[in-house]
Amino acid sequence: MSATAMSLRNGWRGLAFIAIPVMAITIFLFYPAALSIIGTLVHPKDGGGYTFSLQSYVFFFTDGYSLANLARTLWTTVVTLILLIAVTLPIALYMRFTKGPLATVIQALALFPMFVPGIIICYALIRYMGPNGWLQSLLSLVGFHHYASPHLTPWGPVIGLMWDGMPLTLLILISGLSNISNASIEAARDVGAGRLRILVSIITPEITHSLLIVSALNFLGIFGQALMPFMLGPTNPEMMGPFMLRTFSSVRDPLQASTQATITFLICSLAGVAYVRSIARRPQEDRK
Amino acid sequence: MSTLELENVSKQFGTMAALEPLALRIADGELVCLLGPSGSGKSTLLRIIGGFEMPTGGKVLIDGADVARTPPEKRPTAMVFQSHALWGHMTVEGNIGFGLKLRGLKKPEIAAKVDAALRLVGLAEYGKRHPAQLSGGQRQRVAIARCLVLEPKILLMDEPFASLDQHLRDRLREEVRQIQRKLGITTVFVTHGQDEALSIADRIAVMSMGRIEQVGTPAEIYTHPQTPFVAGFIGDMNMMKTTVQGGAALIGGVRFDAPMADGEALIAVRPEDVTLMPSRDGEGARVRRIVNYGAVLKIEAEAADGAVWKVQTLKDVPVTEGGFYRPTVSRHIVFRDDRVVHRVDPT
Ligand SMILES: Nc1ncnc2c1ncn2[C@@H]1O[C@H](COP(=O)(O)OP(=O)(O)O)[C@@H](O)[C@H]1O
Ligand SMILES: [Mg+2]
Repeated sequence: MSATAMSLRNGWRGLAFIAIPVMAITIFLFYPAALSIIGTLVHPKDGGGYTFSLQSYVFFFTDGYSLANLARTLWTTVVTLILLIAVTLPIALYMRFTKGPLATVIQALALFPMFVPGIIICYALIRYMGPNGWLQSLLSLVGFHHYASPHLTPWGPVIGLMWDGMPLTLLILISGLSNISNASIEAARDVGAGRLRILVSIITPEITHSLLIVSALNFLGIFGQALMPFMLGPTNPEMMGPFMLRTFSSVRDPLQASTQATITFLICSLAGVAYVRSIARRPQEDRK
Repeated sequence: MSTLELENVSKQFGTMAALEPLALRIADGELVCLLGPSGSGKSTLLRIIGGFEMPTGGKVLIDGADVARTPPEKRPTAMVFQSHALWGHMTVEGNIGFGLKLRGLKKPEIAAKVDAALRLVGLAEYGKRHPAQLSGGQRQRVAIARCLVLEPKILLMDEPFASLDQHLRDRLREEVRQIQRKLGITTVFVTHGQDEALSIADRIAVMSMGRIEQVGTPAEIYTHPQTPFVAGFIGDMNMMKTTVQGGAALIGGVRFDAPMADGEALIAVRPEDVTLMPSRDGEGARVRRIVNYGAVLKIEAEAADGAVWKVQTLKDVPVTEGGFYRPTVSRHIVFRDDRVVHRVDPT
């Protein structure tokens, strides 16, 4: 059998192999998504026929409440992302450059949230940091009586989302850091670089790729979140997740809900593009 | 320029002694090889000199000043690592210029020095490339240039060419030797390959199990090994356990002078110091195997008492497989308790 015939047959077999998942994605994801996006732009006319209109978008971008919700979502996303990296990067650095039982314990602690369902994290956080929760009781035991609970403030979802995002962030950063060889760090010390200089000039540039992936993935995960903001956050303004949910099921305005969803989708797809690009443009260094 | 002295340097990893207290003096401009099998403590010693490990005890003197507690970024040493040590996000120029930048040099000055360093290692055209775009040999040249550009007092190299193929390794070794001579830079070169050490070193320090067994020129190490380990590790050697009786030992039909008390001893004979003379069938040693190396033949011959002789002769000496020969030995060393007790050397 000739090589081309062979590869052709393999080609068909390959296609057959992915046909079912591709069909499933198309039927259950792309098709309904396309329908609802089109539904926000094309409306049935009274007495038959269709008309094209951007009216629901105009409403969204002129409605103070909708805009406040969008702003709150962006604020929460960016603040959570910054805090997440600020908290996780030192842990990852510690774990990369330290051996021993303490590093193992810290790793286990940091990865623990991965095995806890979000809803349980929410209730646990409410019991812990909510009004009259454990934290408040503990603090008043030591004589501090001015505790203001972050529960139902904008900081509530930030704390919950950090819990949620930490394990994956840590894993990606550690894997990025593990690509940096000890010798290249030692070589930097050898030519005269101190700790800070090594962090800034050697380690950070070597893990930009991982930082990009972490940022994009967390952006996607946080921006569209409904559970954490719903359970832990305030209602006015609120994040896009609960906003969509409420608009759809309580306000019963599917058109406005799909419009909010489409806008959320467009903003998230920017992060998606950044993610895909950073994956495609892998650092060209061969890491043997 | 610079001298390096190690005094009583020792290193303990937990309960394991990686280095027993040892001493070594390296003269200005000298190239000394640390040679020994894997795990003998070569890298540990080199890393102590470079500041990457703190010695458990002892002094590291560079030009008489003790730097044993000085971190690597403050030491006048520079190290070439085995691999992986270039910074992938920087160009070749960036890699070489990084240390100069940290020292606060101005851009034109850095550019000039980087250029000179690149020229020195024969990579003048490669400054704008990234390490990923270089071959293994070129990368190590960049690593060498990155060290030399800082004009260190001591250059340290830890098996720098171990991951390269034989041909390239030989070439780079020669180049390093030439550069080292030209700059007159005091160098410590770690290797586990005796060929490498014999061909490049002014002096060799042979290491085993955290100890320096012997220090000497390649010729001294080869012809006058002080311990059985050195005798067996460098070059081919017939190492034979025997019992001395009445000032002599008998092995494989050969009588060895051994003026010492009766008892166990170890006799070492270089294959090229054994000559085979034709003898009658059934007498002397029978040749089991001949391997032709072009200029020389390497022969294995088994004596009646089971002793096996490794012999090396010029290729025009007539020897045939299966034939019987009487071995005669021109030089030998007798060891007892890891020390030389007697040496027969007519030259
Ligand atoms: N950081 C370390 N921790 C514990 N043991 C080590 C460490 N570095 C080296 N060793 C041990 O010290 C001994 C000498 O190692 P090394 O100096 O790397 O030998 P070589 O370079 O001659 O192969 C080995 O037994 C090695 O396992
Ligand atoms: Mg080593």
